[in-house]
Amino acid sequence: MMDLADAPTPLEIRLAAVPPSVTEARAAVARYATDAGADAADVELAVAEAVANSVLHAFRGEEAGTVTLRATLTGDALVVEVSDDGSGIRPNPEGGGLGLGLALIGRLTESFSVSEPDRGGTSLRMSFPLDASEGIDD
Amino acid sequence: MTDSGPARLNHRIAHEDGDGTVIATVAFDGDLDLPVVEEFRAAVSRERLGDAGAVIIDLSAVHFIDSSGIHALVSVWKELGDSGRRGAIVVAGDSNVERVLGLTGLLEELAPVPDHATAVASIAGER
Repeated sequence: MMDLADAPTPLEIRLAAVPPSVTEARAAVARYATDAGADAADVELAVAEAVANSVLHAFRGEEAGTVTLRATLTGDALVVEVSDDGSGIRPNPEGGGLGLGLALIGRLTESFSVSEPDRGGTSLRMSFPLDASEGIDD
Repeated sequence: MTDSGPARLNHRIAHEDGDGTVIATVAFDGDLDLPVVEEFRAAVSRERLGDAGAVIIDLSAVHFIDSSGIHALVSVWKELGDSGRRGAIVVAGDSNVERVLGLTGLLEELAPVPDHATAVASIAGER
């Protein structure tokens, strides 16, 4: 378990809810996960899915808003939150996806939860083990 | 708010004669995520493939793929089949792409092969 005194500074970045932000978010969180001792590949993929969900589903028919990525350590876990200021969780019949995003997140995380905060939008909170050797196997 | 950097996915197309069948190989290099899925689809479009009777989608130099990329890959793969073309997908063993295909349960359906030579042999074996 990492001594929190040695922990990297919590990460917080705000991004436009547009496709290129997926790439930027996953790159930033992968660096943070590596520094924290988590499995960077798992964290990177899960965050890509979470940010893509916001980009594709949170602002349909509206001007693209903001996606906020936060990552911090709790002592035995890396906790990542991806939140947006969109219209909340709605099914998208035109999405055309395979519905793989949340399924992948479920496979890659120790736990995750989706909520609709009082301030609006959607928040996806994911927890990852800190010891990379304990990463989620195939 | 942070500016987003450019997405990175390069590709090249080569045609070869596979015992009377024109085989088009579209080899990708980079990351296959949401910002570049339309580039990916365009690279394997009917216009780009010409009269090729078989197509090899080479992802051996792709370092990252997410569900957006997987969806685009499956969509293109089905379109190739619907157009009557044979095909093969090249994925490096123990790579991120192979792992994500495994996580999504698509390894058996897409049946990727590890290199170009195996892909050509696989296409020849379909005749």
